[in-house]
Amino acid sequence: MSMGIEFSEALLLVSGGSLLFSFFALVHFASTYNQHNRSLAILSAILIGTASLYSATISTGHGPLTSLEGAMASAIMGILELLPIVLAVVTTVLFRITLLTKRSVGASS
Amino acid sequence: MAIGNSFHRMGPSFERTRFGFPLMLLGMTCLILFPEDLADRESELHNSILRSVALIVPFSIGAILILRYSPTYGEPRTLGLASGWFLVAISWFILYYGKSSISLSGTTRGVLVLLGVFVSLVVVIIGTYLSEGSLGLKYESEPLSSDEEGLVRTILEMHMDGDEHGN
Repeated sequence: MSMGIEFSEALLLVSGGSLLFSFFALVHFASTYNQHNRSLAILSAILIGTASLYSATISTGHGPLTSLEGAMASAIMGILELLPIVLAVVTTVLFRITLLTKRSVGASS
Repeated sequence: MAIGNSFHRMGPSFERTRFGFPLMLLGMTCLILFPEDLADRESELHNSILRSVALIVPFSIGAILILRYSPTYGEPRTLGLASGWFLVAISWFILYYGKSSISLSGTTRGVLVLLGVFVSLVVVIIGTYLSEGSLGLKYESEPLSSDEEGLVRTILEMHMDGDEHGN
């Protein structure tokens, strides 16, 4: 793959992102369980989590637990690598709010 | 932290919501203070999170101050605005000296992770839509009785600061 990223690493990163989301979705479904909620939506999170774990296992060639740990660690670090871009965008917006707007925003604005 | 966030998001109708914020704080404390004997990969991740926290905390406080004391969204106050920009400048200073520069490969990694998150999100949304649709409407609720109507009216009037005539 271009830009110095191998296909296996790209697959691991996509799987890691997917695992990260399905992990948070599963935690959310479990934590917010109540007796009136009979939705089977949790199955979709389990399905995508299992598929992502399988692809992470293929990508690393290690066992499921090692692959799970590696994929999620890579995903968190990958997201943190976007932090400078996010900070730059937010700083630009703050700069605009501070200096370029001279009037209060009304209800109709 | 994830469990605490979910508890907190449940709202005041559920008792477990009051455990949300303490659980988040506990999770954050454990994440920062207690890790020991970490392997290489885990240690790298832990350092990366700590560097990001050191960057995000002053930036977030600064952004809140700027928004609160900017002419657009809050009461304009030069001191508050200057304090906010000072904190934002500190976070950029930390970013610059932490050598967390923007790189093409790093950005590509981040975008690939976001792609995975997006794919997962779409699958969960489709799954939720299908499962909610398959449940259907089993029965229609009974209309409120006159006592229940009175109770709802009283609660609404109390929350809207109105008197018993709804004024």
